Amino acid sequence: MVVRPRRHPLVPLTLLLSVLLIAMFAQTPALTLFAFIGATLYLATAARSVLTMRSVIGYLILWVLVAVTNPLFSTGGATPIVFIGGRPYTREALLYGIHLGGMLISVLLWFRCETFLVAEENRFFLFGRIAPKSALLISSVLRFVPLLRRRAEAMRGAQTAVGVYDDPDWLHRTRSTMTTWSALTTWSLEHAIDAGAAMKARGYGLPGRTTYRTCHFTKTDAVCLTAILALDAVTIAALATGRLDISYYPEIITARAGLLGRCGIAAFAVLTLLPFFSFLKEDLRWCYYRSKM
Amino acid sequence: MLLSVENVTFRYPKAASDALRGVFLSVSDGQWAVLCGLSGCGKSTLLRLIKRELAPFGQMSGLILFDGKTACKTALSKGSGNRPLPDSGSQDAASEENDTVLSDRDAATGIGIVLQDPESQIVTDEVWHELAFGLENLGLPSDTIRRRVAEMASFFGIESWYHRKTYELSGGQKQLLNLASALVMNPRLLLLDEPTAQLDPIAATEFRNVLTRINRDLGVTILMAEHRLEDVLPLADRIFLMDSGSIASAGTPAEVAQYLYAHSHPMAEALPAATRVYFAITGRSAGSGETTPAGDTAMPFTVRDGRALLTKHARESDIFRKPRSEGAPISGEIALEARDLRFRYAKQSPDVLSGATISLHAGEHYCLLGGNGSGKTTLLSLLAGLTKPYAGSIRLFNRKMTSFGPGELYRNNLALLPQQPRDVFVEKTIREDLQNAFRRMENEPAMQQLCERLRITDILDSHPYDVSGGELQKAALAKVLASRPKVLLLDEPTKGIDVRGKHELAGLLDELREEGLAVLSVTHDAEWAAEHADRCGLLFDGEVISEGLPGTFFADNAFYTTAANRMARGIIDGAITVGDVIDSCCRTCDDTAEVSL
Amino acid sequence: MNRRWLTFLLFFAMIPAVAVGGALIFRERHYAWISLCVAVLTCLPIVYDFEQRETGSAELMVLSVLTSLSVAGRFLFAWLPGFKPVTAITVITAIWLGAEPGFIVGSLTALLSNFYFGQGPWTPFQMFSWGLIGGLAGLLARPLRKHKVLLCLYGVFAGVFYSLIMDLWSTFWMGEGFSLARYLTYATAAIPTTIEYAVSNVIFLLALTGPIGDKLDRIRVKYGLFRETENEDPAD
Repeated sequence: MVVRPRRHPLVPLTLLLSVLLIAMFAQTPALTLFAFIGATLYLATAARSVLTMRSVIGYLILWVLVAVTNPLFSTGGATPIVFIGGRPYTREALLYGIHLGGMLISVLLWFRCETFLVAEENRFFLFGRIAPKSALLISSVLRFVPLLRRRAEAMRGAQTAVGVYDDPDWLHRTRSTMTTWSALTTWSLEHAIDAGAAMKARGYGLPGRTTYRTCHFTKTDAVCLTAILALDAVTIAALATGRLDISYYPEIITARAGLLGRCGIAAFAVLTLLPFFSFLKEDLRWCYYRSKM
Repeated sequence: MLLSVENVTFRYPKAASDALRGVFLSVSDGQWAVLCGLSGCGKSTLLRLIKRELAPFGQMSGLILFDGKTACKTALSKGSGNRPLPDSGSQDAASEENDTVLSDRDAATGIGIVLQDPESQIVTDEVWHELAFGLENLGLPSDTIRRRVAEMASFFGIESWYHRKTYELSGGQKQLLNLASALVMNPRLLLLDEPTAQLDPIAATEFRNVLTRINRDLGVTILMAEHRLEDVLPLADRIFLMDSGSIASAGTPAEVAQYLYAHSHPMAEALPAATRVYFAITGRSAGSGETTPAGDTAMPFTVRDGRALLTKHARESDIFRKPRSEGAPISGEIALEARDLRFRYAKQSPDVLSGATISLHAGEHYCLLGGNGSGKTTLLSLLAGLTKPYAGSIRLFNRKMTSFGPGELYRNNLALLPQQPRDVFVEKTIREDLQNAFRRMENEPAMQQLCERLRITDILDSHPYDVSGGELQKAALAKVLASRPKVLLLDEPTKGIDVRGKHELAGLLDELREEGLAVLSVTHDAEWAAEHADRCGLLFDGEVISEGLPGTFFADNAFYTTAANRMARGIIDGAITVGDVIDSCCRTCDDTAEVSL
Repeated sequence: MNRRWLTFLLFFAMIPAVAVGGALIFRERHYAWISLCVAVLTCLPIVYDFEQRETGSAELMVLSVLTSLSVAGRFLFAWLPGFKPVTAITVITAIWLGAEPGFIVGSLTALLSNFYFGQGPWTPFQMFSWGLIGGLAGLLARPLRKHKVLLCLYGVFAGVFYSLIMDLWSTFWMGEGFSLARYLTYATAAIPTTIEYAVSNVIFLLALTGPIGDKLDRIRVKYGLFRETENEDPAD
């Protein structure tokens, strides 16, 4: 069981979106580092299942790949390590590649955090407010997909038993899968009609449809949201004024961060560590209650 | 009258005859009315016309009034299309009509409907959202929705799965959810179209219990279409019998039962066991032709009342307590033999089958019964070679199943009729599908003959989704028989099939068995198994336990048995079908008895 | 109507504004930023228009089922990587039901199937490219429905288009700025995959257009759906 923070979905979604956008597009290694640390800490504590050996190795390979290939295309650096085919393989480009790979990995890790930060039933909550019809469409697709997979399984069985999958040859197998698929299509379109009728029977199409809100926006939510936006503002201000700029070519030059720059990094660090802290808080609180029970 | 249907006639587009012919029907507030009849008699069409959002395309005449307002307009060629009902005429006409025409909103809230297939009525992916969906459509504020959803969830006891995904629910839970989602709109009339046809007996009973509460405690009027009367007759206030598009009889359950018996209507066989025995006992003393049977006892509908009737009858006249005459078990060649099958879906999950052993002789009909989730369907798919057991062996005609090469097992050997017969169809018409199958099996000449034998020649050019459940099942049977199997596996063959269909299926199977076909049915239907099986077995806890001839099998079971057996237990030992009971009762009073019931 | 156009204008003014604004903040990575903005912001007006339009319940469910089929198709053919019916279903939807449903089915498939196959920064690009493939097919519905050859050509085009867009994504995200050499390298490396996409699109289009089209026609006749599009297509 994963402990989810009991916040209005707007809060984790805003947090997620701001971390993702800044991590994706900011050019500062310090920010990337914090994005990486924040996601790893959260996943390692709140969602251990994600960080399996296989996925960790996969992430590492991707990182190395991006880092190592970057200098092959970017020859802008001033410090060559080696010449490959007459083209310099530079230190600066390699470092930039390492940063780029790290950025990609932390973004992917934050995407994984999404599953745990936002409860599944709240994932499309905001969408439901803004675009109710699309949200309804998504909701029904999410129901159909498992259903179709089960139907496909049953139909494959039925088709096998009438000898459609007789031949293990791949061409034949593809044709047989197509046959199953075609039967599935007929079934699902017919099913769509029934489901549409059921919707109409329950008043779909009457004017003035509302959206049922399961979540309430509390004062705490407002405080959290304001805090996140304020942290965002500091980091973006630092980025926009160029305090966090870094230029790799021909040599690595970092801008003087100054107070604003340092504040920007600190703000982003807090932002990325928020999920981890809130998980720790919940965890500790629960341990505390249990100890008194 | 809450609902009155006046002289409604309806014809589907391109249809040769009317689906409904001058139907009159009225249901008053708080009643539980049942609309019964064989498949294809027009029950569903009528229900869909009453719930006008579901009204099919076609030509309709007559009037349907809900609460004194027109629910469905006369002579309107309208479908479940896009236009709202009150055809926008001039403003004055619209306001004038307002008093007499049911508004869209009232139509949506006033009449709720639950259809046969639990799956197809669910719209969203979460239970809570499904409950809220109708109220969202009505445009209610969140607080109101929250309250009404909460009320409904606790009334139905679905709090424990309130946050589940709709696709994770069992069939029974899905149907309960459909009922709750209809009821959350506060309807005054609830329409039900064979709501328990796709459920197992336990889920069906639970569903009916909830319906009883809705009717008794909330005062919601119920109109239910049903072709199995065993369980609904004791609950109903009023019965309408439909026969090829018109109401053949209407009245109290006793009156309609009397009508069915007097006219030897096919639906008479769908009457409760107790009622059928009652007619057999009392009907003869009254003589034929009379409308009311002589007899001082009220007509029984339940096992309890049936027992009282039998006890009384046994006291007054000696009952011939003959043991059921059972033939010797069929001991032909062993067609299919499975030993010690073990199966689980994943390494960590528990065993679904833990040492199931079963054998099937040539020419035998074996019925395997078992509760929901006992692994019946899993066993069937193992026996059909669709999934592999992790231990145990399956031999087909004394040859290991694993030794059959590709394209060999499903030719001339084994066939499976799946639970949803339409799963075997892929083409636009049944004919194309059958032709492909017979061609693949190099058995083309046999097609025409088989179709005639199964009496499906007139539906060959239909789309597989446009024919009734019973017809489709026969067509599917034709398709799986194309491969000239020696072993036929059936998954829930009687699900959703009416009495006539069940008899026809049993007859066909008997004919095929004469030719040496071995049949294994997996079923919930104890009545059907008792009547048509050569041998029965119970699958429990992953093993086949208590195997035996139907007589001994059902007589030994206390719960998992037929209504007739429960009724006659201790009075007529060994009677397991209604026929057995009637047989032994009537031997005493008249030896010439030739009872057709 | 006026309001609708105004909203469209607003969207189209928004794309460059957001893109330029972001580019000023994120400097070096402005290629990635602008491409993301374009991908996300092109979807918005279409979703907006879809929201404003009246869609009957059965029509909505048909769209839902087609999307689900295309998501489920990614599972059903999982044993053949790259061989997916997504494009074919998107195109068929677009031809039969129109450009907007085509776009919606294409982009929703990308968004929702990634909940099973993994979300990432590539999601908006997949949404964009599949959506566009659908939208374009909807605009070319008449010729595509008439001529099998054109349909096949469109399948090839869709495969190449999709592949090139995703290569663009790799270029922006796995490297710095935009380098033509890098893009060409990725595109060259992806040639086998591109061919597979194109071939599978053609196969699926040929295999599915008839059956699914028939089935869509069947429910349209039987239940009277999508009637507004009926007069557009002569029975062929």
